[in-house]
Formats: sequence, C-alpha cells, structure tokens
Amino acid sequence: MKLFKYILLFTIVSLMGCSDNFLNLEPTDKISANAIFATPDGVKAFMVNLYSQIPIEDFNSTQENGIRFNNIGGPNNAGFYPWVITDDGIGSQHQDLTWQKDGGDQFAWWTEGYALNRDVNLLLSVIPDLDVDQSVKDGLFGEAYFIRAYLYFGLAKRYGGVPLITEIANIADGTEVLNVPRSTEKETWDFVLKSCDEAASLLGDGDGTRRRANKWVALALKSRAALHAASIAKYWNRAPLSGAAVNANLVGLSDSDASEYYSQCISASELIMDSGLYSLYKATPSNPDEAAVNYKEMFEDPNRATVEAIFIKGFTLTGVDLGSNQDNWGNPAQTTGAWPHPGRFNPTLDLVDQYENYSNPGQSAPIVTTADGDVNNYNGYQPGRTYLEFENAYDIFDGKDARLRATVILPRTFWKGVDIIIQGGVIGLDGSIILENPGSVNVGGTEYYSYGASAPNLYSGFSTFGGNMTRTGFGFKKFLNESYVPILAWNQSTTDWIDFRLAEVYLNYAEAVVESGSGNTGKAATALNNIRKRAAHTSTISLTLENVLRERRVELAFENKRYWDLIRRREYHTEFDNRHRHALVPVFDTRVMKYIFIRKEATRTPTSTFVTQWYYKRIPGIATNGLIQNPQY
Amino acid sequence: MKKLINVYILLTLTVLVSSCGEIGDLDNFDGPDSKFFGSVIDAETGAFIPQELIEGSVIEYTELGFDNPQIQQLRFHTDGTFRNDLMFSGEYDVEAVRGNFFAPEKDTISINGDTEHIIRALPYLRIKDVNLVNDGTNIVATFKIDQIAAENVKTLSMIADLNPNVGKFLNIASTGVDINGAVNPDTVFTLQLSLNKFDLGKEYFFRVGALIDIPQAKYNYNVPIRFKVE
Repeated sequence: MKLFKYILLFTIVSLMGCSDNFLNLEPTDKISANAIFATPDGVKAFMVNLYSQIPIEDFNSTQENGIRFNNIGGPNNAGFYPWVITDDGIGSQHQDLTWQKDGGDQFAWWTEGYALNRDVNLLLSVIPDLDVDQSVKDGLFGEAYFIRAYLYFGLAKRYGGVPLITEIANIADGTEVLNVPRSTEKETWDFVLKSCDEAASLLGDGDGTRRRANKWVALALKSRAALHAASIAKYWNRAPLSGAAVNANLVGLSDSDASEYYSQCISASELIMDSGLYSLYKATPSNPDEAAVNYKEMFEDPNRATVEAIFIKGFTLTGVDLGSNQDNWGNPAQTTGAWPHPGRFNPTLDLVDQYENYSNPGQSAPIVTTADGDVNNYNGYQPGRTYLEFENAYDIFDGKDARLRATVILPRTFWKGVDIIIQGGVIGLDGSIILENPGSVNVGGTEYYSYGASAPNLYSGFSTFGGNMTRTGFGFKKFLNESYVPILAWNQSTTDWIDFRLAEVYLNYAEAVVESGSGNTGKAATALNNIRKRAAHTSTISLTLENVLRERRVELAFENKRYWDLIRRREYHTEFDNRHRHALVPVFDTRVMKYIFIRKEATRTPTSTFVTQWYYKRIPGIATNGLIQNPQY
Repeated sequence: MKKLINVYILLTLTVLVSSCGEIGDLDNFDGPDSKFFGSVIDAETGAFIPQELIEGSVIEYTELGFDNPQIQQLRFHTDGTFRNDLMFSGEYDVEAVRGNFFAPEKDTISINGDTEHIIRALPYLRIKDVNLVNDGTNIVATFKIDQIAAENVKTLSMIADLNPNVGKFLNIASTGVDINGAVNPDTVFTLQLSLNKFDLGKEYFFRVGALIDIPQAKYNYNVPIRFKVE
C-alpha cells in the first residue's frame, strides 16, 4: 500500500504541475552569482570554468562531437578526429570526409559559444565592483577580453558574421532585444582583433607556466585570427557563394580587406618574435637523429618546451573531461596494451611525400618506388614495372626530414622497443603476389606472410582485423606517450596540448609577408629557415609561398591546423574534388628477399569531395532566432 | 496487487496527459494540398537540359507572407525535370540557382493544385554527338561541345556507374582533362576509361560533361548512355 500512497502523491503533485510559479525557487544546491563574485577566489574559480569552455581544438575536440566532447557526448568517437578528414590522415574504419554528420554540421559550436559569451559578459559586468586592486581588475578584464576574442574567433571561422553580444541580455527584455541580428563577417573579424588588442593592452608577461592568458597569448591569437581573415579576403573568389547572407555581407570578405588583415597579422607576430621571451625549443641540433628526438619530446610533454610554447592546455588527471584518448586510438596494433581498438589514425602518403629530403632542399620529396621514378602512378602493382628493392624497409626513407619519423611511425622502425611490422603483401618465387589479403608463401621451409607475421597481434598494417591496422602504411606518432601502455579504460592520456607555439607564429608571419608583399622579407625568411634548422637542415631556402605552405604543413602536422588552413585558403574544394588519399604498401619479394613498395590509392576508400557550402557551417535555430541562414542550408 | 498497481499507473498517466490538455491532439493546420513540378528546357532546341542529382542545379523557393521565411530547395532529376508533390498552396518566389544554364530572373508564382513550371533557358554548354566505342582496352567516348556562354571551358569529364543517375559524385570510374579555354563546335573531343575499372559483362551508364568557368556552375552533361562493357 505504500506504493499506492506514492502514486497518489505523485498524481497530486503532477496535477499541481500546471500552476505557474513552483519552478521559481531559489536552488539550495548551487551557489548564487552574488556569492561567487563576493571573493577573489570565487572569481578565480569562475575563471577556471571559462577557460575550460574556450574552443581550444585539442585531443578532445572533433568534427562530429564538438569541443570537450568526452564530457558532453561520451568519449567514443570511433577515433574520428579532425586530421582524418584532411589530406594528412585517414581513419582506419571511416574513410570519407563525413561520417555521421554532413560537412555543414561538422565542428558545430554555436550554443556553446553563446553560453560562454554570456559567462564572459557576466564576468565583465561584475569586475568593476570587486573588492580588489585595480591591477587585479585589469588582469581580469584582460583575460575576459582574451576569452571573448577566442570565442568569437571560434564562431567567425565557422559561421562568418555572427551576432556580437556584449551585454547580458535578460529574458524579460523580450524577443525584440534578445534577437540580435548578425553582424557582417568583416565587423565580426574586426571585433575579434579589437578584443585581442584590448586583452594584450591589459595583460602582462604571465607567470611562465603558459597556462593562463597573457599579453603574448592574446597577440598569438591575433596573429592566427588575422591570417585567417586575410586569407578569406584574398581567396574568397576561389569559391564564391551566393544568397541572402552573401548579399548582406554576413559571409564573405572583399579582396581589398586582405592587406589590412595581413598587416595586423604581421605586426602582432612581430611583437612576439621581437619580445625576446620565446625561442624555438632546442633550435640547433647537431644531426637529424637528435632533431627527431627533440621534436618528438616537445609534444610528448610540452612543459619541457615552455621556451617555445606560448599557451598550453594542461591535462593532469585521468577521467571524464579530464583525460583524453589519443594513446588509445593512435598506437599501432602491436603496442596497444589492453586497449582493443588501436591504429585508427593513419597518416597518408600525401603528407609523407611533403617532407623535404636533406639532399634536395626547398622541394617536397615524394617516395620513389620504381626505376622509372613515376610518383603519380597509383594503379597498384604492375609486374611490368621495375620496382626498387630495399634490404631494410626503412631505407626508402633515407635522407627525409627528421620530423617525418618524429611525426609518423615508419614501417619496420622501433616504437616502445617493438619492431613495428607494417607490410601489405608478399611475392612468391613464381612472381605471384598476395596483396592486401591474408596468405603466405613457403620458401625453403619458411613461411613468408603477406602481413609480415602470422597473427594480428604481431603486425600493424593492412589487414582488416578489427579496423586496427593502418591502411596507408604509416602509424601515428606525434603526441603519443612512448612510456604509457594503454589499459582497458577511457580518458587515460594526460599529455598536455600546445595551443600556440612560436613556430606557428613564425609561419603565420612568413605567410602574411609572402602573401601581402609587405613586411620584412629578410626576417620572414630567417623565421622560416630557423624552423627548418631545428629539424637539422643545414641549407637555406628562399621565401616563397610554396616553401612556406609546405613548411607549415610539415611542422604543424596533426596540430589541427590543416582543416582550417584548407578552409581559410579556400583550397578544400579543389584539393577534395573526387579525391583519393594514398598509401605506401611495403611488399616482401621472396625472389630477392628484399622489400619493394607500391604507391596506391588507400584501400577500401571511396573518393571524397568537399562541397563549397561547407566553407560556412549551418546556423541552428533560424526559425526562432530570426537570423539569416548561411548559403545553401 | 500487481494488477492494482497497473491500474493506478494507467490512471495516473491518464490524469497526467489529460490535465495539461491537448497533448494528444493533432494541430489544426491542413496538410500539403498542392503539387509543383516542371522541367528545365533548352530555349533553342526544346530538349531537356540534363542535370545532376547530387549537388546539381537547385530551385530555391520561398513562401511569401511570412516573416523571415526559410529558403527551401528543390533538386532536379537527372533528366532535367523536378517535382514536389507535398507543397502547400500559396504564393512563392521561385528561382533556379547555381546551375548549368542561364537562369531566368526570380519569378513569383502561385502554386495551387497541380502547378507546372517550365524553365526555358540556354545551357552554358551543349554536349553533342556522343559516341561510345569499346576498343578492347578502353571505353572511348567522342563528343563535340556547343559553347553558348562566353567564359572559358574549365574541364571535360567522363564518368560511369551502374546507377542511371551517374554524376560527379556518383560514379565508379571517372577521368577528366583541363581545357581552360574556348572550344570550337567542330572539335571532336576524346576521353577514355580503362576496361579494368569495370566488371565485364555488366551494363553501365556513361556520361561525358564539360564545366564552364562561372562561379558555382555545374557540369553540362549528355543524357546517360546505357552501354554494355564486354
């Protein structure tokens, strides 16, 4: 009968539910705004919350699940990270640019952006009344402006012109006041850059931990944002759009805006470069091996490299919204520990080709596999061609830029003390080939397996086993922690993320100088070559757009820049127009007991195409917020 | 007891649902009552202008009489026709955009019952005299192009698929060549696809197309040709 009473009680309560004031209770399990802002420590706690909402595209940010996704929708994104929808990488399971979401809905960050904006406006409104020194207030103002700049940068690069809301809106003001129309794309970018300036003017040099905004972080953000805006202005005509949003200038920038934005990028970058506070981490290695180690250890623990890192997002604890999962998804199958789904990130041959060879500076050095030297033939194994033979599989990468082996795991190189076997085929004594299929040939009593070993825990490539094997011939290495063995649990990686570093500022600067034809070309060339020297290059290359863009792609590989570089330079739709991404398949030829390599289209992949409307994302909730939608949605 | 609980739960739910009223009611608006269909026709030859199903030309329409109405989109069928059988009667702004023809200005039309809308327009390019031959190693297509738009012809393309809606985004084999110039109506162009891209003995649909250098333009194609690959 007790249950009956509950049901009766519930019914009565439910019937009361339609009265209109019972929700207006002061919650007793939450702290009110007044209490939070009553003390400086409360403000600090509030600030921590704001920082965690900044749209930093770290290990916990993906195109399908958004920023901080493992807090919001659970950590399982099947290893579908931003780099696998660019030409730098490909997923072992999901092969197209879109998986669950259309390109116009990827990277969605609208509601979250305006939620953060409200918090920033709330903070700005209470700072003047706080009982602290003016210098502390200035610092808080500066950080608030920095977060505002960052969040509007996040909105502008996705949606173009957006509503600029700088006051706290009140629900009682009614929809007339609440429905702020979109500003033009130009006004939005100008607002971002102005907010960076406001932040930089109020902030000091910081405490050296690189974990909180300071003057230089604000300028680094300005450098990145101004370059983004300048590129759109310069290259809008590569993929012009049409429609109501274009007619009202809500999306699109004019050619004539480019030079101003480039010059803002140049001046912000120059301030950082001339500050004397930052330098490249281990800038002068004595040889490529040393350079490879230096480069890798910088990402394994960014705190080693605070000379170069300008802004670091720290990960200290494991668990939901605290740790991340790149060690789980990224390790090759042979070193996966207890984690059942490794090998998801496969660097493409397209990226590997980009790296220079020390013997031929200033040129990308595609991997040559045949005597005819044709690197544009992706038609698979053709017995009529003469393939180059290699005693050791890694010999084919001789002389390639040290950053290659610090960024990707090459076939038959050692990782965590394990010989990583990436092999896609075997040729028998009769010349027949088993290619990207299981099988073996017996020569003199020894079995030679197409995948290089007898069982899936002994190799890392090309088999369809569990989706765990690379299908490009390369494993992922950058950011992975070599000493961590994955366990069967989510969110166990605690590698910190470098959001801004000096090398990016150098490359922003070099690109702005070469694109605008203004600024100091000598300084830009030096910056470009300093990055190369850190990778053990001894030669100097000239400041050309091609050199700058190749260097950017190589140096910043997998730092979640490539997607936005293709967007801002309006290259995505030409780079991805029925495009295949490519693989390098090592094959063991038992006739000579050596390796040959086949350049081919990555297996089990359709062609991918980027549609121009995706240069701007779909704005949600048009029916109620009354905004003009982006083109073609 | 268990039965009694079920009765109470049912009673509770009934009270809950009825207490706030009208949750179970349908809205009081009428459903779609009109059909809107038509085609895009070459103003000179009277033939349909062949289209592309995925990411092809678009008809944008907006129902008048609302604040901030959303632009709706209608896609063409491959043969150049279009149809939406679930339209609400009313006044609409209708405009063909981002297509492969010189679209007429925006038109305000009244859609009521079965409403046909014919778009008469000149295509940017016309693909003519398409001929397919199997030469033993390749399927070879020859064709000519009538250039109507003044801009350069950017690229030529040949595509094939098992699906009759074969297009730029729906094909198992494709090849192309960049032109970036004007074309002569008498020039015979040749494109070919290697036989090893096909399963021999099956019938495929082939198209050749040309893309004009106009922002957001789409390919002009021939009508897909059914061809057995042997």
